Amino acid sequence: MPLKFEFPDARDWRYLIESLQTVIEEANFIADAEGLRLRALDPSRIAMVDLYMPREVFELYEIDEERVRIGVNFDDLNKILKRAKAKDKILFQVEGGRLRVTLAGKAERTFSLPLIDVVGEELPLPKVTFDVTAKMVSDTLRDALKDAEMISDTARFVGEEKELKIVAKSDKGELEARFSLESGSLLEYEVKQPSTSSYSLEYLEDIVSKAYRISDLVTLEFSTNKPLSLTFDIAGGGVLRYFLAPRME
Amino acid sequence: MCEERRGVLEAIASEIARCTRCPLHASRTRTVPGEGNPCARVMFVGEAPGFNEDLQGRPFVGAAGNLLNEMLKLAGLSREEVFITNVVKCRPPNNRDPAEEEVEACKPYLFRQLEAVGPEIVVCLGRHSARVFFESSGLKFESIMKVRGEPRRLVVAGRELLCLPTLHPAAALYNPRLRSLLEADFRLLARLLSRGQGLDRWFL
Repeated sequence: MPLKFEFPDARDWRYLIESLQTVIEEANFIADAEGLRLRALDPSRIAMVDLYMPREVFELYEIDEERVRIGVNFDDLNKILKRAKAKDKILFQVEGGRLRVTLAGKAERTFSLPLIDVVGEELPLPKVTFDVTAKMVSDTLRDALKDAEMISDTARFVGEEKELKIVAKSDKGELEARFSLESGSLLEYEVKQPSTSSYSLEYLEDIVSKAYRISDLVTLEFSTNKPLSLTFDIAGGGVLRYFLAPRME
Repeated sequence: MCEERRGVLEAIASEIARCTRCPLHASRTRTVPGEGNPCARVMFVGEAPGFNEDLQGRPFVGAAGNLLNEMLKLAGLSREEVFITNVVKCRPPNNRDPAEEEVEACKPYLFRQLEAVGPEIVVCLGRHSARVFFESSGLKFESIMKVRGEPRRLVVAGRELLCLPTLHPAAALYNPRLRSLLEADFRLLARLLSRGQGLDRWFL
């Protein structure tokens, strides 16, 4: 069998796939000796997702080939993952052009999906240096984005010396959410130079409302008029990272 | 934020007006610090002021300036929304090439302007400008014809930017072949700007 990997909690995979779905409907996972990766751009090329799960995050990880490509439709995979019960383990096996997904709890249920041929370019990561880095509880960011979305479809991120602000303005009103180390709403904060950049709330809210379940903490990085990076650390050393293009004002 | 940047640019211009760092100060009529939108997405950097620029204290106001204005229009830009300056802020006598010591003396002003405006894209107009940006980024510069029309991401004076080298408009004034290359580069600039909504420009 070219590839086999097992993860202790099937529901984490459901959250992960839902987080990937905020950017793309189908994509290739690439497995090699180091682990599993996925990098994809959304069709409008505004958002990118970059996932890395080292083999150490899996309970079992066996690969017989140098590189295995797993092309999947996330909607199809998620229908299976939604059938997972609490504490079900999940085993993925790739063989003969099919992906076998086993949910192992009280009973063991194995689903089989055809692998799909996803045409994708080899993508580099955006070449950006960041002037503002902030680490915060992901639920706090989610709340602020939900607030901002009531006002506008764009959020302006303002990185000042001591404070990070998320600002939304429209004829409906104005929102200013403020975060700082002092108030305890930021866990880490570094500003190389004050920066301001705006991003689509449609993407942001969608991404954070799914990915906050992957990790309690999120690291935001941005610079003036440059992409935003959102990093969610996965327990065991994995990383789910998003890049979002700025909206030019 | 733009008002703050305008203030910084005005302070730099005042320093340039008093500058005696190189011999060009003795022969200049006026200094030409540069002008435009302090929050511009695009900064144009030429070589040095010519006869008309020296008289008026403004960059690109002669025949080459008219051609630059036409090219800006082609890229969907106006002079008001971009920032235009030169590597050297005083006119070299008889429009000769600026000497190395003159470029070195003036470079700190250019880099401070770059820091103040913080453009996403710098269009280097001609070989002198492109050489300064390439070499400041640790790249070897051979000729403008080798690098023109190929945007590349550079880190200059600690600032990351997308550099689009092209020909100096003066070179294209009376040469239809060079003019068509200049036009192609400005059309590329328009595409780079319109892709501002996506991540593509950050992959370059």
